[in-house]
Amino acid sequence: MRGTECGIVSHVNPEEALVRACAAGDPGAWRRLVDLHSGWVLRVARAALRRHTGRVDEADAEDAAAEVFRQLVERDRALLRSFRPPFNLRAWLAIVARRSVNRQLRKKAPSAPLPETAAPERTVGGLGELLGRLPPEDRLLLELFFVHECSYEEIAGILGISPESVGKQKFRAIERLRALRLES
Amino acid sequence: MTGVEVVMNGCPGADRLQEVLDGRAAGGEAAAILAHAKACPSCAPLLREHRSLKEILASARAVPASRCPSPEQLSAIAAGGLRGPGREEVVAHLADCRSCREDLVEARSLLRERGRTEPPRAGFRARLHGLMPRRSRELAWIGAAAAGAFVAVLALAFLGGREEEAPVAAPPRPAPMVAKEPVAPEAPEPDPPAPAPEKPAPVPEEPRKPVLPAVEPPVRKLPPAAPEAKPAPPPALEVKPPPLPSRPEPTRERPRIAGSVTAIAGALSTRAEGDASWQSTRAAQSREFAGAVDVRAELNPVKFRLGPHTLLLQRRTEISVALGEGATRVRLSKGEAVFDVALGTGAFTVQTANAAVTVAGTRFLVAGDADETEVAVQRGAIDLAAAGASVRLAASERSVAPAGKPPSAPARADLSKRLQWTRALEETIAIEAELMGLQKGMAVLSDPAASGGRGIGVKGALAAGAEASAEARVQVKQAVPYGVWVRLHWNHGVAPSFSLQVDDHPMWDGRHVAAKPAWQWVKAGTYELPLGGFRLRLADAQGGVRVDRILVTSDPEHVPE
Repeated sequence: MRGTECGIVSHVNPEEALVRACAAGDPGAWRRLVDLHSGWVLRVARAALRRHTGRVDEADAEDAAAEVFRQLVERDRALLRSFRPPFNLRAWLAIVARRSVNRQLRKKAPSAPLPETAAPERTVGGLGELLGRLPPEDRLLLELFFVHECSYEEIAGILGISPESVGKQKFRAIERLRALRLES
Repeated sequence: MTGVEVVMNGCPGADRLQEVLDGRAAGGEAAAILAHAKACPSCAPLLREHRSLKEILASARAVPASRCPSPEQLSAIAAGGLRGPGREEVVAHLADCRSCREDLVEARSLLRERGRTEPPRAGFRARLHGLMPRRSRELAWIGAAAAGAFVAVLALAFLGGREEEAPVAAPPRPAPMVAKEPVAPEAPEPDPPAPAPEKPAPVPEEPRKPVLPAVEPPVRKLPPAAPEAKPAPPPALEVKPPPLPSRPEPTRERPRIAGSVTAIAGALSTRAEGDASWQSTRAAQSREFAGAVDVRAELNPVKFRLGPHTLLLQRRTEISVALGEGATRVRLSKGEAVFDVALGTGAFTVQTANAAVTVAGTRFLVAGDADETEVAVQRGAIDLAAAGASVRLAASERSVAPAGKPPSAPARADLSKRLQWTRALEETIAIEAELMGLQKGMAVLSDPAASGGRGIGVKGALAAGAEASAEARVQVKQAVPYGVWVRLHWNHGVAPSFSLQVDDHPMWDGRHVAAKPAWQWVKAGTYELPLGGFRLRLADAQGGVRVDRILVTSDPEHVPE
């Protein structure tokens, strides 16, 4: 028996098999994971850094990506071992990498204006408080549209609805806000 | 219309302005419209509202009430959108958690970008290669070799599972909160733990098996009032059961009988042979076992299916189940449990510290500790044996067997209070008829004796062959048979011609409803209903019947009043 993958039955997702082998500490699998996916993690790290710092130094991006990989194996590879279905390795790595880079940034500069740490309260015109009374799905839609500047197609993809209903639902949400404002 | 020199004549209209604000209009035109909106008294408020919404949302600091979803959950949404069970919770979290939203939006946009990802320079990769420490490499090879045999059988077993890994010990079948496809609870019927002697011989060509089969006898007994609800096998087959095993069993010596446990409401813990610790099984999840399994309700009551049977455990109750040839043996080590035992599935016994209950097709409660065992029967009959004596208990009867003593004589018992805790585990959906979608002559009728003072019925005469109908969308959550009840008013002498359909499959008709000059609840049968939601349709081809409500309930003992 050579390597861990040969014991795996064919219907196991190959990405899952790769992560499982890495989680078991197989150095060959780890090399392959690095060779196949370090470019992707680097790209995610670059994008995350660009978002928070405006410009990216390639060395910084490499450091951040290396830190992501270090976190994958730290604590006896706990993160790798936590990999669960549904298995979409690229998407999973993207989320893991983004979270890691955010943590790194927060650690480096605790006072930096990261999204969760610095923001005025919702007071303007009482509208902010009314927002909290909208159904979560409406709020999520408005956030995605106004704050994250997602297109209708993008919002539709996230919410799992059709782009046409995004427009309708958004209209209804704003109507609801107006109604709430009249009430108060 | 292109270019910056577009001049606005009059207002663009709210829809058009909205398009511009949404960023869905071409640049030059959009600029002109925006310039107009700023100055125009009727367009400016919309523009201001848009800006203030943007500002407020951008500056908002909602504190998420729940923990951030796991990377798997978030990546599943990034790859396939929000769907599946648990969607609501994730939506609620995302609405409040900006950092998760950002992760999600960014990951999606990166995933959608075309073009190859450049491999990083070799020096960087080498730096990463060295991260897997040498020491654990040696250990891992041993672990991997040892795990190999398991992996071949259990495709999803963890390779790392042989090492000490308390913090993230892996359940064998983890189910994500958000899955690409809804995690459908496995139909409990096809794998009964014991051979089902009363199961009719498989009819070779079942004539157009409906998507929504009327309940098979092994699953739950049909109400005697509606024998026609099950069209396929002739009744004679049910009377004379050819005792055949439910699935062809290999002739090897005494194979362990495979069973499954499916959580219906609440989360339960299970431990089968080979489990190092208790495994958690959440609602709609199942786990299979061979021969025997321990099941435990921790802090809350649970409802689950054990093959064709439904069991309800009060909190802090623990049972052990052993499946034998034609027999299911349950041992109640502590707590109390209600057993809804399917007919014709072999002997079913419950053993406590000092007493034993033997049953066939019934619903009863057993509560036991070291000092005494209490048994109460809701439906059917059972034999309770303790200290060499035995009593037979019928429905609504109760008996107590103190340790070392024979059971007390059967006494009438009011079970409704005793079984109060089971109600939280049941789902009952009431559908007001007047709120259904009414079509072709079906109309709302006011009737002081109906709930809300209104019911529905056919107004006036129907054309020959026409059918008035009412429809509602219903969603049920539990993978158990549901009882369906209709509150109706029918005082005509002729047979009524109304019926119920589920997604266009006939479910029940009212031919046998007795005429009565008052409102009555009529049970329309017990059915396995589609879990994803279905269209319930009430049709009347003749008129004369009034309907007030329809009730769909997972509680087999529920009788509406």
